[in-house]
Amino acid sequence: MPPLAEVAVESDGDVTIVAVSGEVDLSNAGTVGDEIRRHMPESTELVIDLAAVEYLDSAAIAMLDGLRESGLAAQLVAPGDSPAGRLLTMVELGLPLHETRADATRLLRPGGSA
Amino acid sequence: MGQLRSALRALAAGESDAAEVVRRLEAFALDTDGARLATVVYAILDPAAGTLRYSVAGHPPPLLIAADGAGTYLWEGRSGPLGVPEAAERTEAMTSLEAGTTVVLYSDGLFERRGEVLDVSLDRLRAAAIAHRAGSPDELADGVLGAMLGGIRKRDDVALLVARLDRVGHRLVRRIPAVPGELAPLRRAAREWLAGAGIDPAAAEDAVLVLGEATANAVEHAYLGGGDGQIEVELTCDDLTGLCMVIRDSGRWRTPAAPGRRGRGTWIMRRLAHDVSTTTDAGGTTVVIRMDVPAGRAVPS
Repeated sequence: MPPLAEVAVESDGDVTIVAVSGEVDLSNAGTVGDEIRRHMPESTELVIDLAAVEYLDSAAIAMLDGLRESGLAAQLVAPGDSPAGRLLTMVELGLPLHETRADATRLLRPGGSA
Repeated sequence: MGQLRSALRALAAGESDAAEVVRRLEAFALDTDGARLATVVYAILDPAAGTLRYSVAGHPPPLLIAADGAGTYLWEGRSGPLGVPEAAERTEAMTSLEAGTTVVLYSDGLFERRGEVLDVSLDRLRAAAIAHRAGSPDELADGVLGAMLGGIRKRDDVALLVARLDRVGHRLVRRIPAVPGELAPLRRAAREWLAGAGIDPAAAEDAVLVLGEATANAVEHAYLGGGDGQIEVELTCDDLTGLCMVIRDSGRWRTPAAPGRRGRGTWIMRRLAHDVSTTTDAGGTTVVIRMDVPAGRAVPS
């Protein structure tokens, strides 16, 4: 059986993008969190792209919350009509949420603005 | 009779066990003048599950007319009239109904003819109901009354109730081991079932999330400390009641050590569902969730 979720990492200049796809629930939130943590850059900026996540619930929210509490300052990406976008809008996690990757990375580039 | 009818309405409220309703009615009848020896048929028609639960106390049997014209009497769930000491223990039976099935309940005043044996009367009734099955329930009732009573002036009260299940709702039942790895397959089954039930995709995704939270709670809290517990999930949907999800486990929910996930999960459930109720007893914990389904989308015909 393929894993429930996949975590892929890309670099875009000095921005690291961690793209999560699949489903994140009680069974794998810990593993997905560890994967993201493993790619938490030392000095660069991090974007967590959740656009391709098909299902996530409070276990995923708790995982993201845990990352935030451990000092992660990531930008989250999830379109408003995606499962992640709808849930994150509802629970108001303390991490910035963007519609697109471009919106998120623009903020992180020198000279970028909100 | 009138007293029994009013009592029945109050005694039956919220009760899903037909035999229990008859037991309560009997207790009332024992204290009521002229109510002893009354006969009763009490039936619960569940359009979502497509089931009829019934209990018969000294009454002639319910009659089912299937869409294809087959006529069947229900001879189970029987006991004696109310207030008879030797009446058997009250019991109930359940039968599944296909869409289009007509349920006919009646009093024996409908067919009693001097000298006619019961079997012959029941055969006449069945034939009359089958002959008029193409009509609406109203027309079927008129046809049966005409055929059975003809010009006979009745001394006994005649009661006739005809109900037809136009559409059977949708129902999904799953039993899974209470482990996190079983949650995703369960959600997949629920997603397919919700789509098959014709539920609006956005509402279906909300329902899957609520179900996911409820079952994660059951896994995480009912079975903390291991064990090989089971979770039973039942989803039903029909035009009348919308979407109902029942999640049962055999454990006791514990106060979460870290309220983070579960607190959020419960908050999400309450936010998305119309109603969430949790009851815990010696047998375990049952969560009943009701969700409003966009009108007209539930249950395609």
